[in-house]
Amino acid sequence: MSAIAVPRRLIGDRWSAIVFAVLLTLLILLKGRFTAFDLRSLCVAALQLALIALGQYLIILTRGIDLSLGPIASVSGAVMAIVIAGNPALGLMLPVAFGLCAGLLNGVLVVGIGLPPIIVTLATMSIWQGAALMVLPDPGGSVPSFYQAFFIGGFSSPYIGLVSLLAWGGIVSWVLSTRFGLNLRAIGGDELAAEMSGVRVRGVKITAYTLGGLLAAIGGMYMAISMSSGSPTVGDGYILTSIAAVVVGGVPLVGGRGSPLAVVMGALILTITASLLFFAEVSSFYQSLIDGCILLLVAGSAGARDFIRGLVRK
Amino acid sequence: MLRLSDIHKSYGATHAVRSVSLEAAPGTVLGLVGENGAGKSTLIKIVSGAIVADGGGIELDGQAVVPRSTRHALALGIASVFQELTLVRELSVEQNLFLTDPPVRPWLSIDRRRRRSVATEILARHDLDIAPDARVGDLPLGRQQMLEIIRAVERKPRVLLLDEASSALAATEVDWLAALLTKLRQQGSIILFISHRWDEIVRFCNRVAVLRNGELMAMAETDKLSEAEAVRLMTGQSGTDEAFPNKVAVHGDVALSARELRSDQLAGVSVDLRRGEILGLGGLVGQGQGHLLEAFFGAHGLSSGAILVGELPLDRPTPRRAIRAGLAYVPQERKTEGLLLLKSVGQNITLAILDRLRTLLGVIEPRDEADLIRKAIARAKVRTRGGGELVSNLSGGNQQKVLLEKWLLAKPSILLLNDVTRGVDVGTKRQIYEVIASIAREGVGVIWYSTDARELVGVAHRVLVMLGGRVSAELTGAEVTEDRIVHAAVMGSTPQAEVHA
Repeated sequence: MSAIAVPRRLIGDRWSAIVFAVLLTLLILLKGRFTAFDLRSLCVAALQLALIALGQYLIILTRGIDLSLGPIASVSGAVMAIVIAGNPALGLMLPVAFGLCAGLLNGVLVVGIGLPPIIVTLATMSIWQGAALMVLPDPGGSVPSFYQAFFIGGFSSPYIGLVSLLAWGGIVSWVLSTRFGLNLRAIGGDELAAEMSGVRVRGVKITAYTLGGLLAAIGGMYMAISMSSGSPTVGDGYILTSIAAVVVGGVPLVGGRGSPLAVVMGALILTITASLLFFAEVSSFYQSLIDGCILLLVAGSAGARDFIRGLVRK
Repeated sequence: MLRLSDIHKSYGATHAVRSVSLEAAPGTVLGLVGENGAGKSTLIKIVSGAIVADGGGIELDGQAVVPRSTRHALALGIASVFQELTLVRELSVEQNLFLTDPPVRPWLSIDRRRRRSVATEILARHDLDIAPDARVGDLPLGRQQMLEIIRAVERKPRVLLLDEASSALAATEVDWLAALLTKLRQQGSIILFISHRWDEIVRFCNRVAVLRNGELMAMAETDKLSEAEAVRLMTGQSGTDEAFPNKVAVHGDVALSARELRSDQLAGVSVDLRRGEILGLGGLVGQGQGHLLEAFFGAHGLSSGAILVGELPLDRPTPRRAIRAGLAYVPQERKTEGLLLLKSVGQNITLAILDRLRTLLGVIEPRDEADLIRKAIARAKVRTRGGGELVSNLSGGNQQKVLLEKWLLAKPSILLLNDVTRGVDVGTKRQIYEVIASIAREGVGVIWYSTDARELVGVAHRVLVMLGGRVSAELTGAEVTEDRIVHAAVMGSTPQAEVHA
C-alpha cells in the first residue's frame, strides 16, 4: 500500500505543480538556459494573471463568475497611468478605490436584483470596456520607472516578482482562513443551508465581488507598472483566462473548494505555456488553441486522477 | 414564557394558520400535532423567522419579538431544526458546528486547534460518536440530524423548535434525543416539537397542541389526551383503528433475485422477491438498506454479485437499464433525487414514461398526457390545484405521492421504495400504504425500506432486517412483529434464531 501511497499523495494534491514542473523543464530544455531575467519575466506576467484569477476564485467559490474583472483591470491601469506622474498618492489610491466600487457594484447587482452573475458581469464588462476607452482612447500615459523597480524589481532581479506572487497568494490564503473564508465555502457548498445556519449570505457574496474587483484593479496596476504606461484594452485578454487559471489550478467551478496557491499555480502554468510556445517557435496564432487543449487536459486529468485513484483502491 | 397571540398566515386564498394563540412556560416540551397542511410547520416557521406572519404577535419572556429571518431569530434566542437539514454537506463536522462564530486568532484566522478541541468536547458531551473532521455529507442521515440538533442546542437558545427533527433517527438515536430533551427541560428551555410519530409525542412532550386546517383544536397535558382522542381532533372524525390495508398475499413467480451482492457498503446480500410480494427492509438507519435498493437500480456500484429480473440477468445495472428491465425506484431524498422542483406536477408525473406517450410526429399528444396526469392525481389523492402547479408548492406528503405516481405510471414489475413515508403525516401515510398494497395485489413485487418498524409490521409480507451490510434476520408471516424487527436490528439476530444457534 505504501509503495503506491507515496506517489499518489504527491500526484493527488500537487497535480498542478507537477504540470508546471514539466512545462518549466521543457522550457529550460528548449532555451538551453534559464536566467534571472527569464524568471522575472515569468513571475511578473504570472503576477498580473494571478491577481485577476485570485479575484475570480473568490467569486467562483460562491458559485458565481465575473466577466468584468479584465476590463476593471484595464480601467484601473489606465487611470493609474494618467494620474500617477502628476500625483503619486492619488495615482495609487484612485485605481484601488475604483476596483472596490466596481466590484461592489457587481455584488449589489447580483445579490440585490438577483440576476445571474454571468448576465450582470457581461453587462459591466461591456461598461468598463467602454469606460476604459473613454478614459484613455489610445495606449498612453506614463508610470515612472521608479515604480517598476519598487513593485516588480529591475530587469534582472526576479526576487520582488517572485515574492509578490507568493505574497498575494498568501494574502488570499489568509482571507480564506478567516470566518469570511469559511462562510464563502459554505455558500459555495449549499447556499440555502448556509443561510438557514445563520450565515450572512448576501453580505458575504457582496464582499466576495468587492474583493474580486479590488484584486483585479491591483492586477491592472501591475500591468500599467510593467508596461510603464496604460492601455484601454490590456485587460480584455484576462476575461476568460482568469477563469481558465482557476480551473487549471484545480478548482471545480461548482464552488466551495480549492486553494489560492493552486490558483497561483494555474496562473503560472498558463503563463509558462505562452513563453514555451514562443521559444518553440510556434506561431502565436496557435496560442489560444493550445491553451484550450491544456485546459481540457488539466480539467480532464482531475477526472483521470479520480479514476486512477479508484483503480488503486480496488 | 413564549406566548403566541392570534397568529394569522395565508397564502392566496388558503389560510395556513388562522388565529392561533398558545403559551409555553419554561420547562415545557410542547408537541404540535396535526395532519399535513394543518399549519404546524407554518406556525413553527413563523416563530423561527423563516416566514413572517400576516397578523398576530409573539412574546418571549414578556417582550414582543418579530423574527425577520432565521439569523435574527437566533439573535433573539430562538433556534430551529427542520426536517430538511441545513448543514453544508461539503464541509466538515467542526466547520459546520462553528459556521458563524468560529474561534479566531488575533489576526482573524480561524483557530483550528481550538475549534478541534471545542468540537471534540461538544461531541463528547452530547454522546455523539462522529469525528470532528468527517465530511458531513459522508455521515448517515441520522447522524447528520443529530449533529444539526446539537448545533442548535449549542447556541443556548431560550426556545428550541424541532420540526420533524427526529424523522431520520433510528430507535437508539431517538433515545438519545429523549435524554437531551429531558436535560433541556430541566434547564428551563422552551421546546416546540413536531412529529408524526405519536409515540414520540407521548414520550417527549408534557403538553400537546392539536391543529386542524390552520386552527388550534385543543391544548392539553399529554397524559390527559388519549391517542384516539388526538386522532379524532386531528382528523375531525372518530378514530379509525385499522390504519393498515388488508394484507393479501398473492405470491407469483420470482420477480427479482440477487445473489451475493457486494460493494463497499454491502457484504454479500442475497434476496428473492416474488410477484405480488411486499418485502420489507428493516434495521437501524444506514445498514446498507438504501444501498441495496440503489444497487438494484444501478445507482450504487457493485463489486460482485448477480441480479436476475425474472429470468433475465441484469448485468452492470444503470438506472436506464433498470427502468427497461421493469424496475422503478422511489428515493428517500425526494427533493434532490426524485423530483424536478421547478417543473409542474404533471411534468414530473410523466417524466419517466415520456417515450411511451402517444406522439404525433414526435410531439406529445397533449390531451393524452393531461388525461394520464388527471388519473394519477386522482388515484393518489394528491392535494393540488392541478397538473400545472409547481411541485415545489406542494407539501412534503403530496410531493411524495407525486413521486410515487411518477413511477407507478411507468407500470413497473418491481417497485423499490426507499423510506418513502419519512416525514409524512398519518393521513397521507395511510394513502401511501393503500397505493403500495394495491400495486402489490396487481402482481408488482415491492421492496420497501422503512425506518418505521410499525409500518413494516402493518404492510409487509416478509421482512429482511439488515445490519452492517448483511441480512441479519428474515421474518415471515406471524414472525413479523415490531419486537423482533427491533431485536434483530440491534442484536443482529432474532431471539428464536439465537436458540437454534
